[in-house]
Amino acid sequence: MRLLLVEDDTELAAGIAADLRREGFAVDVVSNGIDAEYLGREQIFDAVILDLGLPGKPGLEVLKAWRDAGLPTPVLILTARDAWSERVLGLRSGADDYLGKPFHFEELLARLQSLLRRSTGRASAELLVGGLRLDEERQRVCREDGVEIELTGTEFRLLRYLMTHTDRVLSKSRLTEHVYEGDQDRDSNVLEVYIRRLRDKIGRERIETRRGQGYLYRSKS
Amino acid sequence: MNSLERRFVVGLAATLLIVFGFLFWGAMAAVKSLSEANVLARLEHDAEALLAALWVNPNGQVKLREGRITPIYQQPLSGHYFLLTFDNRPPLRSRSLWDETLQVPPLAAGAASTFQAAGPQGQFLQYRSAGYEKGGLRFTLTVAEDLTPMLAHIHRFQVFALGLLALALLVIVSLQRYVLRRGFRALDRVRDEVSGVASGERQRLQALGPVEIAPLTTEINRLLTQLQLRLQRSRQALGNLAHALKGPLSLMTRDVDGLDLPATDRQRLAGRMERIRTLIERELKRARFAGEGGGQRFAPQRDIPELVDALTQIHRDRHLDISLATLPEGTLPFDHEDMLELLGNLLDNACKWANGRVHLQLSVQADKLHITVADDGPGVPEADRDELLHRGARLDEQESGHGLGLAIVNDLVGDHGGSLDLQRSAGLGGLEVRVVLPLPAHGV
Repeated sequence: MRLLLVEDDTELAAGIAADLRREGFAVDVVSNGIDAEYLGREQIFDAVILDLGLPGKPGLEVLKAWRDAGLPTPVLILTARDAWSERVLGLRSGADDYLGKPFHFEELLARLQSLLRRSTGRASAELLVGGLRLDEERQRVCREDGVEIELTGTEFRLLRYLMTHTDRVLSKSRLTEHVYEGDQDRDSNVLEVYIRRLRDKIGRERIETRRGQGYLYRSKS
Repeated sequence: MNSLERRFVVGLAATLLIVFGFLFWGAMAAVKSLSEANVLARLEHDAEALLAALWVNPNGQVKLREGRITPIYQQPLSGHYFLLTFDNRPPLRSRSLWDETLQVPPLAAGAASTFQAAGPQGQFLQYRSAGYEKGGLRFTLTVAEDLTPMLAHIHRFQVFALGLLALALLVIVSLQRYVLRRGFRALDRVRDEVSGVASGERQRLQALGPVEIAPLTTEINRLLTQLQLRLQRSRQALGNLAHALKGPLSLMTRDVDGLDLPATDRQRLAGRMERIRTLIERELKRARFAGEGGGQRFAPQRDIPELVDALTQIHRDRHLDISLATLPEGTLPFDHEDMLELLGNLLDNACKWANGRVHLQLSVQADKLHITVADDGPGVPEADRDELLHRGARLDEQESGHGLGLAIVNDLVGDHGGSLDLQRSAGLGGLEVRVVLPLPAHGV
């Protein structure tokens, strides 16, 4: 899962980004409204955490511009401006959730996860697809036979994206976009290496290769 | 009531009455003296004609030549009479006198007098009496004319003139009142708009009114703009302050959460951070209250559904049913942001604790706004209710900001001079918060 974090306080942004990465998210950080609007339109993010008091362009205007352009990405507003009139305005402008500062990271995480669950159409907090159970907290995967398998950060991100977008052909570039952050190496060969490693861990048959198109994760084994 | 219109109408009517009174009095005096002069002139001519008709016959009898006397003196009680009195002869009377006579004192030759007195048959006569000497004959000639027809004429004219003046008075006063009302209609619009501002339907006056009051309305507009700008600016500044304070505070919260400390130390630190957070939150929110004379007014039917939508979205995962009783129409004289803060906190609290149902009721009764928010959650034991309100305590650490919300509401209610009380909801079983706010009185 790749997130866009828009926050002008660089120290706070770095802190939140570090916490989010530890939870297995790829995070791109932007500190002004103009870059945020541009990046957000790329549609490579699974969710956006948006501060309202931004230099360049106010957060609410960025949000409105996204929504006017039909961008469906879920947006969580994280701001010090938490009067109820501002919350109402934020939600009416197209935000999906609103969290006031200061906050505990656990609350941000919980709301973010619920947002992502909703956007991928999942009802329960547990990610259980085709006999595989993904433990998001411990970043492990549990097979039907009860064996738990450790995953590296990139493997976890890749598997989570596959498991939340099952039975669809996912191109290499799409997978790369949602698994890696902005400035990381985008060599598609590296992705192939990770896919191979995942297959070794969870079973070759689950991830199908569509030549020239990409990969497909089967919900039924 | 001190009404300009009434004062103007009464003043105008009084002035007109005085002016018309003088006019009437003058006109009547002129008419009367003119008519009397007319009658006297005619009597004098008649007297001269009688003198010319007078002759003494060979027998020494005084006679009048019949053909030279105006026939009106021959008709009985015609109202025109003459009388010749001599020193040593019987008097000569006009035939019109019939068997009546006139009481006139004799006058010396050359003397004359005019006077008015009662005559025969209730007539009122103008007399002209003069003494003469003609051919050695001394006599007094009196000619008289009945004034009653003329007086009746004058009376009729009087009544007519009075009617005319009264009509003129009525027409002038109503015309002026109409003109005045038309003038005031410009003020009516201004007055309507001012009450519109008071009730929050409009932000400024559109109609400036006639030049006489334009400076006043322009000034009102200037003050309104200033007030709104100031509120906006101070809210903006507070927003910036909140932003500036909460950024570092968020960082500190994160740092404390991540510290490798014994659990007790961490809890102590976290507790202190929480207190700072609570204090900042509460005081900043408090400073944002507009209180009376705030900016945009609160319109329940517009604002509450938006708020409920927002809450439904925030608590989406809980699938709550937030029901509303019928909302009051139009705007209420409270600040839009204040009321959203109050209702937002109350409803958010209720949503956090509810099992599935939240109910909001809002009604205006006897100049007070009654707000009731009830949920079907576990409620709050009576012993804890006071603390919940006053210390902003959090009874449950898991529900962030729970008590803080109620404490903020309590501050807001206090600022508006209202009351807040907590009880068990009879309908839903959970906590029921009742807020009563007196409607601020406004001038119109």
